[in-house]
Amino acid sequence: MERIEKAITSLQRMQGSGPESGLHPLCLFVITVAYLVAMLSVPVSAFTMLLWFALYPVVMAALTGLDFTRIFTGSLIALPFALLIGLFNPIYQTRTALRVGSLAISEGWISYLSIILRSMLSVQALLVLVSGKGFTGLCRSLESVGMPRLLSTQLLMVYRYLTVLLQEAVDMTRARRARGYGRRHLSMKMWGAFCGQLFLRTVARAEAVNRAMLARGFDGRMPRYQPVRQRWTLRDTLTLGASLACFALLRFVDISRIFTHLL
Amino acid sequence: MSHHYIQFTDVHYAYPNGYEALRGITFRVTHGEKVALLGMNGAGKSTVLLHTNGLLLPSKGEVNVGGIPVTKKTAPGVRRAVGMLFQNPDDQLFMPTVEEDVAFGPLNMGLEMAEVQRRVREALARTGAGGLEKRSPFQLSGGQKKSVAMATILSMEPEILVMDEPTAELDLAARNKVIDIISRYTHTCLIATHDLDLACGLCPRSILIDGGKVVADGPTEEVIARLKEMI
Amino acid sequence: MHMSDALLSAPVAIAADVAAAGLLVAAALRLKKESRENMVPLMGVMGAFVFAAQMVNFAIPGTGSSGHIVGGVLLAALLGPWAGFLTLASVLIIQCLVFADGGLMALGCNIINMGAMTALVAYPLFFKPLLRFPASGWKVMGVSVLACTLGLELGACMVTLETALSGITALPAGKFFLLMTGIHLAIGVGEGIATGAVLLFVQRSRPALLMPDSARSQGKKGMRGPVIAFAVAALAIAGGLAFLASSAPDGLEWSIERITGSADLAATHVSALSTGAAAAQEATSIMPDYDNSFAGIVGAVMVLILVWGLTAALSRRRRKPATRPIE
Repeated sequence: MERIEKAITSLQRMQGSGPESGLHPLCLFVITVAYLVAMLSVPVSAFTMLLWFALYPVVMAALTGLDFTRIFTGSLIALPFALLIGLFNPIYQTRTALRVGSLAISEGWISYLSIILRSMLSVQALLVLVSGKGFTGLCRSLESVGMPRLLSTQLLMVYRYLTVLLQEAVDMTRARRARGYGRRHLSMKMWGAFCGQLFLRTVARAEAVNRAMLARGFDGRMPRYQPVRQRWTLRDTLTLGASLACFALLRFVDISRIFTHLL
Repeated sequence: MSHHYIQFTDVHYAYPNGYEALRGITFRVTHGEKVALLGMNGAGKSTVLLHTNGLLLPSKGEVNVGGIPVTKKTAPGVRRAVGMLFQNPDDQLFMPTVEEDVAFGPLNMGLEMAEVQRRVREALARTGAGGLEKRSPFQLSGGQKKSVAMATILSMEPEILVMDEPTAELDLAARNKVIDIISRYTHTCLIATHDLDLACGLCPRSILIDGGKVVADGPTEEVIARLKEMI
Repeated sequence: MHMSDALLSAPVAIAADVAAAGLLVAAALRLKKESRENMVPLMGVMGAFVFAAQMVNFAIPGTGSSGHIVGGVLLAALLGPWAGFLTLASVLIIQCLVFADGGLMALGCNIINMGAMTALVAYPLFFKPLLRFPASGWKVMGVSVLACTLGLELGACMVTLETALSGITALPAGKFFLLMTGIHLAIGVGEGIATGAVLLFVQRSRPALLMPDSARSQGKKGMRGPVIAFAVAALAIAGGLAFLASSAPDGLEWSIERITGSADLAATHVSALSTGAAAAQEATSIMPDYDNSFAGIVGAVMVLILVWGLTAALSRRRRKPATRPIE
C-alpha cells in the first residue's frame, strides 16, 4: 500500500511550509484564481502567449520562498493525462501553423503543446498556493470571505481524520497481505468486506469524536480561535494590484512580438 | 457546585443492542479524593466514566454530580464541571492545530478571548506542551498527543477530572509525565486504569468493578489483592 | 473521470465553479436547518472514509485491471443526499489540493460531475424510491448498480458537454461522448457492485445505521429539493455559458468546426458568425502571422530559463529549511 503511505506523507506536507510573515492567504488565493483565469483564457492556438504565463510559478515561488524545483516536479503528475488526451489535436488539426525552415508545424501540434503547458501551469499555480499557505490557513481565510462555516469545518475534519483512517487502512491491508497469498487486488466480495469493516471503524471513530466534542461543551456550532489574525496589509494590496496588471499585460499584449521584431 | 463529589446510586445501563453493561452501580467519590477504577476488559469501567458527564444516561438509578442529578437537561452544565480524558487522543484532538484544540472547551464556555488565551497558555504550560501551539495533531508523538489531550481538559479548569486509561500505550517517560501532571492536580479524580502501579502510587482508594457491579471498594492495596484473586 | 484544467476554457470553468459554489452553499444552509448533533464528526470522518476507500482498489472481474469507487451514491445512502454531496465535495476539494487532481479551476466541474450527479440526482431519482432497508441482497445490488451506473453516465455526459463547450481538445464531441459513456458504463457497474457490497455488509452487521435514513425521509419533499436545486444549477450553467460564450469566440468557433466536420473551417472565415469571432480575436491580438512566431517562442523560452535560473540561485541562499514533523 505504497500509494496510501505516499498520500499520508503529502497530506502532512500540506500543513504548509511557507514563511509565517508572507502574503495574506486570501491575497495569494485571489492572485492564483486571476492567474488561472487569464492563463486558461489564452486560446490554444496562441502558444507563444501562453508560454509567458510560465513565468508566474517561477516568480511567485521565489517571492514566497518556495523551492520551484519541487513544484515543477509536482506538476509532472498531471502530464500523462494531458499527453494522452491532447494527442487527438495533432490528429485532427492538420493545417500548417508555422514554418521553421523547411519544417511545417501543424495547428494540432501547437494546441497539443498548449494543452500540456496548461496542465502543468495550472498544477504549478495550485502547488504554489497550497504549499505556501497550508490547508488550514486557506480554509480559514476562505471562511472569512463567505465560505459556509459548515463546509470549512467539514474540510478541516476530513483533513484531520484522513491520516488516521488512512493509517487504519494501511494496518488492515498489511494484516490482509500477511494472509493474502500474494493476491494483488481484492476481489469485489473481499473489497466489500474490507470497506465495510473500515466503515464500521469509521462510525465507531465518529461516535468517539462526537463524545469528546460533547464532553467539552460542543453545541453544534464550531467555535473559532484566532488570537492573532493575519491582517491584510498594504503589501498585499500592492502585490495583488501588480499581479493583476501583469496578468492583463500577458493576456492582452503579445510580448513575443518584441523578439519577432528583433530577429 | 461547591462540593465536587460524584454519587452513583444503583445505576443500570443497557446498550441499544441489549447488552447490559451496568447492573446496579453504587459508589461515592468525595471532594479532593483520587480514586482508581479497576476491572477486567469489558467490566464496564468506560461505561461508568461516560455516565459521569451525561454522555450516557442511566436506564435506571441516578448519577449525581455536586448535588445536581445528571439528566439530558443538566448535562451541559455538568460537563463544565467534569473534565473527561478519553483513552485515544486521536478521538480527543479533532481540531487542525493544538492551540485551537485547547481553546475549544473554553470558547464553548463563552469566555472572553483574553481569558481563553490565558487558559490556553497556562494549560499547555502545565502539561509541558508549550511550544506546540501551531502543530497539527499528526505532527505529534504519542506522548505529546497525550499531554495536549490533558491540556484540552485542564483549560476548562474542571472541578472533577475523569480519565480513561491515561497511561495506555505510552512509553516510560511519557507515562511518568502523565502521572506527574495528575499528582499535581488537587481536585477530585476518577481514573479507570489497568496500570496497577499508577493506582498504587496516586490513588489511596480503589473501586473494583466486575460484570457491571461493584465487587470491592476500599484501600487500593486491598482492592488490588482482590483483583489478583479473581485472576 | 476527473475533469482537468488543461481541457477547460476559462468561461466554462468559471460557470461551473459558480454553480458548484451555489450548490455547496445550498447544502450547507439546508444541513444547518436539519442540524443533527452528531453530524459534524460523522460527516468529517465519513469523508475521510471515502477518501481511504478510494485508495483501496478492487479487481475488475475478467479484465486483470483494478478500479476504485467514487462513492457518491454510497455517501448519499449513508448520510442523506445533501450531507452526502457536501461530504463528497469536501473529498474532491482535498484531492484537488493534495494530489492536484484536475486542478483548481476544474473543481467546480468535478464537484458537479461526480458529486451532484450521483448524490443529488441519481440517488434521489433512482435509489431512494426503489429501495427501502432492510432489503434482499439481490435488490440492494440491483438498485445500487442502477443508481451508480446512471449517476456516472450523467457525469460522463457532463464531462463531454464541458469539454465540447471549452473546445480545447480537437477530438470530435460525438466520438468523445461515445468513448466516455462506454468507459463509464463499465465503471458504473463496478461502482454499483462495490457500493452494494458495502451496503450489504453494513446491513448485516449494523442495520441500525441504514435505518435513520428512511426514518429521516420527509416524504416526497426530501426528493424534490435536490432535483430543483439541480435544475436551478443546470439553468445557471446554461445561462452563464450563453452569456460568456458570446464574449469568448474561440470556444464557439471550435464547436462550429466540429458541427461542420471540416478541419479547414479557418478557410471559410468569411461566414457571418466567425467574422465576428475573428474580429474579436484580432482585438485580443493573437499572432496574426504564424510564420514569425517561432522567434517569439525562442525568446519566451530564453527569458523563462533566465528567470528560473536567477530565482533558483537567489532563493537557494535564502530558503529556510522546511519544518518537519517530530516523531
